Amino acid sequence: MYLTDKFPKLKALTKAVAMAVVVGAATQMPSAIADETSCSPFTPLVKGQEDFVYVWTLGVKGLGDESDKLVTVDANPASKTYGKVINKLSVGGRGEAHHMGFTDDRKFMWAGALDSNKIFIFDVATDPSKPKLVKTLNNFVAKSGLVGPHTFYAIPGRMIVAALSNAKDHGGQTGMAIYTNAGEYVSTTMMPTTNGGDGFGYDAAINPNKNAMLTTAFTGWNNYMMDLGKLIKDKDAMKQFGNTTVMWDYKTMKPTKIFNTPGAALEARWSYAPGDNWAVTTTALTSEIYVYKQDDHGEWQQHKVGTIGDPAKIPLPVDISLVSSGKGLWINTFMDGTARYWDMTDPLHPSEVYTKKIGEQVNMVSPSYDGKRVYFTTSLLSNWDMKGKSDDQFLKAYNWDGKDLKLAFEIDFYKEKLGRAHHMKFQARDLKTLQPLQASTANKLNFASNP
Amino acid sequence: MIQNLQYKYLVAGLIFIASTLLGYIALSQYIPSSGKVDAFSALSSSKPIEKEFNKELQTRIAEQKLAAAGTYELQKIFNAPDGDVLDSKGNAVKLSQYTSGKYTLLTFFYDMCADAKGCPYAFTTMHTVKNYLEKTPALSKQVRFVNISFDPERDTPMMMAGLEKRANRNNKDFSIDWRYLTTKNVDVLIPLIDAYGQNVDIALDKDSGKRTMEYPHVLKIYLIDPKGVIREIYSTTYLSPEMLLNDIETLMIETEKGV
Repeated sequence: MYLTDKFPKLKALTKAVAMAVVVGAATQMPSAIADETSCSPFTPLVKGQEDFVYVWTLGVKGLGDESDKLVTVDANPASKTYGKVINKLSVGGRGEAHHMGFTDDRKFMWAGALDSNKIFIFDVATDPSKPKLVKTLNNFVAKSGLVGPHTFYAIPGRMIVAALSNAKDHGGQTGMAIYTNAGEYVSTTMMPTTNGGDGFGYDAAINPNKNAMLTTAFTGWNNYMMDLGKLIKDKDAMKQFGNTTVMWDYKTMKPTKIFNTPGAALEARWSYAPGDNWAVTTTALTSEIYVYKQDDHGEWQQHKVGTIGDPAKIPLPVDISLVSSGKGLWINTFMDGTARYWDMTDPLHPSEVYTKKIGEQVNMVSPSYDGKRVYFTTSLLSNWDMKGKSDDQFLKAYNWDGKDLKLAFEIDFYKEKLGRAHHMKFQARDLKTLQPLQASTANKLNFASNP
Repeated sequence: MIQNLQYKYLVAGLIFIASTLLGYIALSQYIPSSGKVDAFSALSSSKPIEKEFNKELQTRIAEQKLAAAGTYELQKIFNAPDGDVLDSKGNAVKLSQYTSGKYTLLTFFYDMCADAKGCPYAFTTMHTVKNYLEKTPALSKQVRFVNISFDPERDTPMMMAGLEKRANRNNKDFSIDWRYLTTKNVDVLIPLIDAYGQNVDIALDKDSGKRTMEYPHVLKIYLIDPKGVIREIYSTTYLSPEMLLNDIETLMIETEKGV
């Protein structure tokens, strides 16, 4: 204050910079405001109609080519092939395909396999309708000591790979590895085991505006690769689930607060709506919703804000997804195949306002940026999916008018001999108006040269 | 036909000159005038005011919930890639001479960039860092800024010289060394931006399919330590002058400790 009063030009500069920051913050909002299938806020979002839905699909023995594969579905209603599989890219073998994440420029997509520990990097920009496998990382275990690459979360120039397990005992002690976008290993941060930490891990989500990262906790390879029926009967194994969540200083990658969150908290989601300062997760085994919000002193506090279904029946809440306004949350419960929409207008007092049975089982949910389209897939883990006729495997697209889900199209992944449908990501890129500089070989002749 | 072409070139030339002038006017408001630098020069020798500056900075750092400088470690992400560039005099030089020996903030840009969350935002942020650092000559001498164009066709060495002169206007002994570099052509540029992981697109006209003057890109600023190792990468979503200063100070403390 003193300086700016004394030196008007400094004041002007301060104002100009402040304005630039505000403009920057405002213009970046579209890329940081929405969930859009829970992308990192460092990744540009698809704000209009998505052209394609990529489905990371688990290969099934005796079905098609039996391999894990990236399936591309045309999702643009204006297209002649709307609702159809337009490409499938097998990666060779089955490794327990699970989740995916875009790099910070949305030009590449990383996809992991929880059993083989392979990480596949696809080019999804050069021709988004035909992703190309450009690199396979086979060094995840050797470099990080971790097992089960789960979450792929973009940060500037790098990718956080949050794991589920470790190479020593395949239990739940785990951590997060960081790679460059080029696929070079950088570092590993272990989940805390002191000050109340149990060392378990699962998802990671960052709020850049708060310099905060929330991580959750699931279970190790020994459990997630075990048959679910057998696991439930194994008392010792059932004790090996995470019971904590951790708020981190994202910049320093150090824990700032560890919370007791019983029952394996899974997906972590931030509301990026302007002014919001809260995150949400749900627990798989106890069916609770937890919200993390700063108190008046800026300290993060955990609030148990709701119960999903009847916990005694273990509905098994799995994927969740916030709508872009932060005022609604989709929650899937795997065991009853039901999608549930919760009103989050008051995040500390949410309420369930809509339910719809999607299939015999349902796992992932991905709403579009505008919330008008919602996509569902089915597979949880190859050894946890339902058996026999209940083993639905599909992608279903719905239109959502705020009151009801109306089916737009569905693809039976077994009938199409594809496999188990798991994680989804959207892509849209108009190649007629946008070309990578790298792809402009023919145009290079048009560029002038400096002497 | 020829007259039409000439007319088009004339219009294009006028638009180019006008936009360059407008760009200069727009940016010049952020650039310190000579009077201001003199004032800063006076400030740098006035310890109480220097303390006040520091206090203001620390307050902003605290507001952003940033850990104190030196209490955390910045990752060693990868070695700053080398490449062939042209300096503002048109000399062919190796980029590595500008990515080691000092604490370097490096960013790719193009002069015609009008994206408020892109190059102009990087410029104002870096300028604020420059203003802060130049309060303490001992610090500012250790820091370098590097801007590399990914529009070698328009951003010629002559253009870079103008930008560099503007950025370094009223340079004093304690000023930050701010370099503007370009490349011979896009063939030389591509391996460089690929190595840095700085993807950039060419925007095409939707009707003609021809190149426009826009290069859509995700802004990245690289913090490079004196050994030439990239220690942090910033983007629009996670960028503030205070964060940059805090990280530079963290690296300086690391050097002091001999890590």
